[in-house]
Amino acid sequence: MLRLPEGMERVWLMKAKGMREVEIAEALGISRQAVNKALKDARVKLFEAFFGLAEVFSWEIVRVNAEKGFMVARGRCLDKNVRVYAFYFPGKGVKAFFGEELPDYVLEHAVEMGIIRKPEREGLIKALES
Amino acid sequence: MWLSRTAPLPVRGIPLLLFGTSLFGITVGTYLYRVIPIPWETVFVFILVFSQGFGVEIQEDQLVLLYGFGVLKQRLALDSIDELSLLSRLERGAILKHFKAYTFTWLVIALWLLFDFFVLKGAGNLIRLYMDVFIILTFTLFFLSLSIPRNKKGILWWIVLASSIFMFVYPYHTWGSKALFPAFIFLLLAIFIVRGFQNSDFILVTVGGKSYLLSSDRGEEVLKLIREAMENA
Repeated sequence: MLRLPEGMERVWLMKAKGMREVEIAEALGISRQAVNKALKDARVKLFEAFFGLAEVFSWEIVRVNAEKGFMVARGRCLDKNVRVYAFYFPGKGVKAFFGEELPDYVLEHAVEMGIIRKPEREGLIKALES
Repeated sequence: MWLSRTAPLPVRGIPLLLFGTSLFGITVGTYLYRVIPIPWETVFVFILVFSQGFGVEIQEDQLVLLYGFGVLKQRLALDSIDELSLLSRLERGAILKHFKAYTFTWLVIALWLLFDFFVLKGAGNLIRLYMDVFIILTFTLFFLSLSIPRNKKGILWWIVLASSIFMFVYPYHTWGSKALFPAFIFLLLAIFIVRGFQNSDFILVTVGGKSYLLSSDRGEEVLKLIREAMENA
């Protein structure tokens, strides 16, 4: 399972939570160029991870957001079309979920990443699907 | 690498400015002609064509969006892409959410023509008055196609039906049977617009907080090609 290198992940996470590149550079004591480079590499790796995952399971990609680290895809399960939602969890990697029954820790993660404001399932689906 | 059967829409920057100006210009051409007698409509139709997407190209580490026969270019760094989405396949995906200025351009022009129809009476020109009705309905349909999420697209067909009935009955009642042929054209155009929106893939590309929109009939393939180019950049 893909995981971003620790330093790169820290930079990406700070950016995903809304910090500006200059602020990240100041907080970590590194140059702005280094922050920019880490973010670019993180984006490419996340795209690679989500597209790779979709390819392995023959899912059709609908949406990949490398800024907040999530993917929406369409898969097949028991001859039925199902929605697949995948998220990048810092320190853990990518996890995918079928259908709209997302566990509570996904809602908390979505709030933390700024995808939604309140931990509500309906709100998260709406944010991912619009 | 040229991405065939794919073109950008004029949703931001100079292309959007040219697009909005030309649409508005076409509708005020009659009035401008009274001040400066030159064929304004022709001028603005050319600008409208010029504002349209011409193609999409991948050049080394950039995604290049071409407009105006390839003269206007928007260059997006591949390694700065934050998001790639097939907007048309998201359950609640609506173009309005991401491209408000572009979407409301259609509505603003429709509202201006409504004003022209009721207040300015189409400058006393019967053909213009008829065109007002025609364009108001067409542009409203464009606006709704861009605003209604995919899971509610069925509503659009009801709107096509209602506006087509209106387009046959009202002009026939007001101007007689000679108005029936353009009404038939409207019906075909309305079907073309809604089918176009439902069958095309709309690809959202977000770079550094700015969103761009591509239209393609092979969305998934285009997404993969962009991703491959990102990997090789």
